[in-house]
Amino acid sequence: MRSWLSGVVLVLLATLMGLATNALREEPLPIFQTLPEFRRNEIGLEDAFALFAQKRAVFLDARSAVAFSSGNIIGSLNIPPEKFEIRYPELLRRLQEGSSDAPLTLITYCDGPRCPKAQTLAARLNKKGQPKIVVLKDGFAAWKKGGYPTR
Amino acid sequence: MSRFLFFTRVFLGLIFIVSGWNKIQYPWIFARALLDYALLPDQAVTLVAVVLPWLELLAGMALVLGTAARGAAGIVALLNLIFLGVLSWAVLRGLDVSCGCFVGDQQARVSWKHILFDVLLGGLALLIARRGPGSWTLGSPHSKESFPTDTP
Repeated sequence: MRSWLSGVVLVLLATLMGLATNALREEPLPIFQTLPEFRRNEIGLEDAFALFAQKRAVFLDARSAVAFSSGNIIGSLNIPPEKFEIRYPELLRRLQEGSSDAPLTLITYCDGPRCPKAQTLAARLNKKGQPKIVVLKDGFAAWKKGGYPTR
Repeated sequence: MSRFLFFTRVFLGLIFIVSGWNKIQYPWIFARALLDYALLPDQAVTLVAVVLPWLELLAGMALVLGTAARGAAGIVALLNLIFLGVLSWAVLRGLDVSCGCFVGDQQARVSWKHILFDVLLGGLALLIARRGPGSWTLGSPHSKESFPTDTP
């Protein structure tokens, strides 16, 4: 086989394998889509706590039910991305109860910096048309370590 | 020389296998590293994050096995050339971004060390692409090793 041809075959094979394995993932990367809220949407601990203290935010826990029940941010709702459609109405109810002038900020969080679920959840909320969504930087681990209120 | 080529391609192949496999396991983190460089259009980031690691892994495997080694070495050389451009750009602009070379290595801020390593690997890949896979190949249509000449 000519060497350039084997190079082309390798590229095609890699594309195929990459797309196939991504499609089979629990949390696939969205192909050909912009990720505007992927990086520029993080909120630091202090800012998040300020919103928490003023009751201007709803915290959304993107982790599994097991992780959630072993400790979470006070007042947070558990919405793992894979159960999004089931749990989303609960969030809508919460938002209607606390109807005030300014819309509440939705703060999603996960375990730590390596966990993608908070970003996935933020993306889904964005698709539902929620106006104010941010992701808690470094997640629950940092919140707990910082001594902020948990239950 | 033939043995030297063999050890070179196995060394190069193993590095690319490790690097590729590592990124395949953590596509979100790699996508994030790509996004931090802010060189690709946003729509292309996820596609590259999904395909590039497999290209590294497959090219690495081809190099280790000695199958289609020249094509794989060409790909690796090209990748290293692209990485060289990207890394130099980031270092010259003083960007505070993670290298993204090996995903587990989160703290590794991009630096001249990465560039030197990249140039070394690129040079080795060019050598294989020009001189062929050397000894002990699994076989490709043109390698003498896979066709015994003294068949009865």
